[in-house]
Amino acid sequence: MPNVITCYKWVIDEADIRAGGGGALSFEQAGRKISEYDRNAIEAAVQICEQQGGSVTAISLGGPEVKSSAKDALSRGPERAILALDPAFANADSQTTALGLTAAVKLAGAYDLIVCGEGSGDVYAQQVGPRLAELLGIPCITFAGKLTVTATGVVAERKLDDGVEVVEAAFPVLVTVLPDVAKPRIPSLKQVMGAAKKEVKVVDAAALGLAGDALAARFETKALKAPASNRKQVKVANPVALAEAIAGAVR
Amino acid sequence: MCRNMAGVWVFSEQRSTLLELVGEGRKLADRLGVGLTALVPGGRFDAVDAIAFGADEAIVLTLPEGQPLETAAEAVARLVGELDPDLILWGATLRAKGLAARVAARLGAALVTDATALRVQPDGRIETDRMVYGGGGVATQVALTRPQMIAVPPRTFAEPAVNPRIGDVREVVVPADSRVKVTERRPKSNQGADIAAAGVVVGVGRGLAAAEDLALVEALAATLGGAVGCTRPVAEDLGWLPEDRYIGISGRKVAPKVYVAVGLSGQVQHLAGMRESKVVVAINKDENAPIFANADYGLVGDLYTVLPALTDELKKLMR
Repeated sequence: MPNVITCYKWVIDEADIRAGGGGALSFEQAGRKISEYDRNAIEAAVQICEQQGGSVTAISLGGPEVKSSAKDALSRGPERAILALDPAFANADSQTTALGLTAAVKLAGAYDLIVCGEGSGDVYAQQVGPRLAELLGIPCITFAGKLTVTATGVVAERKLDDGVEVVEAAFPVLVTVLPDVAKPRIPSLKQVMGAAKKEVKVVDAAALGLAGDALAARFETKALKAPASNRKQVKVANPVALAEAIAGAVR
Repeated sequence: MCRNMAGVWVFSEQRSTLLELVGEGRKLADRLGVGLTALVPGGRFDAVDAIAFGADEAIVLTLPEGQPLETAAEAVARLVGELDPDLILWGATLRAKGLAARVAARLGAALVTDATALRVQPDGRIETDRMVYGGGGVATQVALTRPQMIAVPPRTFAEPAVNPRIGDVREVVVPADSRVKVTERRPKSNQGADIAAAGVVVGVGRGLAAAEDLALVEALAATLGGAVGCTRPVAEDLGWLPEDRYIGISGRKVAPKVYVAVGLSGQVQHLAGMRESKVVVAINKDENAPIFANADYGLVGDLYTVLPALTDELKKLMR
């Protein structure tokens, strides 16, 4: 019966971001959501334990606003949540996130498998999974489209640039998953109600032993803007005119 | 002259991407006054090629049979610790992104994933652009940690000309990780043209009502000697086209001479995959579709009447 940890990120809903004057991004109206790929990861973890027993712990890291994510996450099936919340974790980079998650995973107790999404819906750096595995000193299998759990480990089918690679690894192991691995459920009313009664442990950076270098900025962000469109935006009246424009561009 | 042979490193598991990075890395190394080292996994292609295209030396990482590429993380991190390069450019295949992240974790270093632009600053650091928020934003960043590590997607830089140098190839043997084993590799079945290499791409979205109607799109693509791509829902939800045809932030990135967007609204996630196209043409019945603001030429109309007429007209023009 595997003990499974799943990590998720509470991201700004990109559909709510508005571009203002000079391409500046406005987040004022933006809501938050569990990052899309992380929903697949949570579902994969929960399905494994529904079929084989064991339990799922969900872990998230971020600013204080992440507290309100617990109900959504827990309604998707995990039994408990650990939230690493600290103003210093707002906009944490991949390394700070991985360092914080490493400490949070240790609080979760013995585990066999960690399931993460392939990347977050906001930054999509695709780094936290492999960094977390490296810091924990466990094997990592990225970009798994199929995940099978055996008595002693996992078999994962990675979908890579040049084809499929089947990898076996012994527990404990971290797997990052593609959306195909499991389709997220729509939680039932009962699951939503039940989520409120589940255990949520909240810890801050100090409790996780993170300070100084671990929290220091590793990037200087010089600008964050809407992508500029320098397209001509010419409206053509009919297919003949469009054909001429296309033929001119192809030549 | 080279102040430090370790200066700029480039890594890729793909020959073509490695050579692109060697070409760009050579320019950066010359500008910074340092050497260029190519790091390549063994057994895939000849590391000497890197020297023929401008690297000063090559290091071959020899992996034991049945080990995933990422097993090399510890060995690469150790080399970085010993030789102290200023900059590492990674060819951003999926395996290499994982390897780079694991090396970065060991070094406590920042890593820029999928940079779309690199600019050398007066202090020698590299300013990068990359897409965030599903393509809705561009972040301009400079990494503050050493070495600077930047993963660059294949085909970001042009294929370089031959630029032979004299240099050594040395081997670093990567120890096996007994906990992990690759049991099978299935090469990608070639289901059609590689859309990332096509000069013209016709991309189709949910405006198409049925899978059979793909014939209209294929006819247009064939007339232009191009390939058919699609939005994520067309491949992932509907399954009308193979997954290697969907264009977007998490799918393929294309940069053809002409991109024809057919019946797709132009969500940021899709735009992120075709933004580098030279000329963008849009056909959509909704005049308010965001694709029109991201197109050079737009035609508001029903694709079922526009496509046959357009294909006929192009057949005459392209003769």
